[in-house]
Amino acid sequence: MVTHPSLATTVGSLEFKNPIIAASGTFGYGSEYEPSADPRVFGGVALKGTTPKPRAGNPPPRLVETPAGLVNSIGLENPGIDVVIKEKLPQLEDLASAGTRIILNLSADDDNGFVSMAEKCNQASPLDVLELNLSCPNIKAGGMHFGTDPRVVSKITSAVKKATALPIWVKLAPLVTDITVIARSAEDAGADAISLVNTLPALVVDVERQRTVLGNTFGGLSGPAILPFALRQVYMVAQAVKIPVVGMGGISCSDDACAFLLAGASAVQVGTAIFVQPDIAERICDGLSQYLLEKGYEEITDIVGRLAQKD
Amino acid sequence: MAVLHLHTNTARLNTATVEYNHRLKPGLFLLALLNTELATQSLPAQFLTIKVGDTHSPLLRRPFSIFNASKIAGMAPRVEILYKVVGQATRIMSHLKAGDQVSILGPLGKPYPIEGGSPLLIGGGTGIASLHFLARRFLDKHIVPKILFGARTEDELIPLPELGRAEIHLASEDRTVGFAGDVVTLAKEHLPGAHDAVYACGPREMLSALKEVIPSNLPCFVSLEETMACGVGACLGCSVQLADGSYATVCRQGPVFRIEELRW
Repeated sequence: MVTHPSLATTVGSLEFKNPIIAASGTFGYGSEYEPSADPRVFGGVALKGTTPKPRAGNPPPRLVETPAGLVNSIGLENPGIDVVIKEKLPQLEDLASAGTRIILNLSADDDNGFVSMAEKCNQASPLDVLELNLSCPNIKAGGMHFGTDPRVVSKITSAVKKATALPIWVKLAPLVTDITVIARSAEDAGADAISLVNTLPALVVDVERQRTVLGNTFGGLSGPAILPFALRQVYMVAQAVKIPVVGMGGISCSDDACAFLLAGASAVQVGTAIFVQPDIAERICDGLSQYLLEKGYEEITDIVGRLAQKD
Repeated sequence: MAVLHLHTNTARLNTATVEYNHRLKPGLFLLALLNTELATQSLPAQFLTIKVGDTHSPLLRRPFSIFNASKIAGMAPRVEILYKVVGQATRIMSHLKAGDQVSILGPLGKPYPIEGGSPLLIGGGTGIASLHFLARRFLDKHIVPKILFGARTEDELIPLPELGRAEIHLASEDRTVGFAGDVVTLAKEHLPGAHDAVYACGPREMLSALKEVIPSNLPCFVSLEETMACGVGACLGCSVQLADGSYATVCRQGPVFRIEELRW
């Protein structure tokens, strides 16, 4: 009989104490929620999206709630890679020592921007993973999001791969013609894992004032509203690639996390749900342990991809 | 980017029990929550967030200024929240009953600095909440604040029985009670007085109008309200623009700003 199931998982060669990761942009630089929530409970923390130069972000309003969802247009407000490496990462030593993996989410307008940041990260610590944001709906590059073009995804991924020895996760835009094509292009270019989905492009209208609600017109939809769609995309990608998949999109309880693991995700990210319940990682981990006990599994990795195995 | 002082975050995620949920006026409620940490640690202009209901709609926690925090010997430590029913979340809140449990996160944000010996407090609508708490703290220090409290109609002007010793002037835009007009026009009559600090909370338009009439040598602190997601400075969703063009979070770098720090 299973008495102490293990939540430890791996994404490629990297071990995680549990499969719950705070999604980029929802957990700041790891310490903002203290003392109300302990960041060490997370298996990993993906830091706020970082760019080559500081970005002021988009004009407010930046948030609007929609049915079971949240539309945001923060616009990647961040102090830039140099400040993040010099001032933010060193504050994460205790968190890293507690075994929580540190994931730096990077955004740039072109491959040179990604490469220059990746090179700077070679001397940065603590840092375990570079997550390449090829999918932010709130900034534009040449009028097109490059996460929709497999050639651009391939070019950026291989350029960054050459520039760093750190594992690279490529974070994909959800709304493309065939997500498996994009995922395979990242895999072929050397990505260590695929993370998906980013928020869905969205628009909210103030009918009374006959204008858009958000200061930057469009935003990205997150939260429970997107879960079934995100789950489908994760399942499709997990079937299509051999590298690990990190799944996200509307996870707000252990059953949600479980669904992504069953669909083939090796780990999951939680974002909007942190806003609702800052102690969500603890709740999900407790729920997953209970699930493993009830089902008689010794390890969380035993359920990863079970959905496909039953086909 | 502007460097703003951050108040040490002492927020806790907690469960509070509803002591009462009084209807003060049509659509205006005073909710009392029993929670020792909140009651003993909260300061004026700090807020808490409440998870309303246990479904995905409404989704996010809702922020509310603290109207009062009391820790009187022999009584249960409580915080009071003044709220107006404006949407789904506040409508659900209006049905809370004594004994109900709610998830709270707080106290959050930077409090008003308590300065000077002759403060002028200017509140619009439910913006009176944080000023009520502030007035209590001034009275505790034997400083008698002058309070200007305005609203569109008499129905929004709640009684303030615990501020008996303060000098309170009412204003109503529909001219039914007190000064006939908006609270900023009323403020113009009182500003030449010997006040050494101004504290204001209310709708953005009210604060913006106040900016035009505040003498530049008079310290004026405003507390802002914004839609929030995290409440702790992590998501950068509630940002407002500062005078220098950069952005600051209302939840963490605010909600209190000096009036001249902001772009109006």
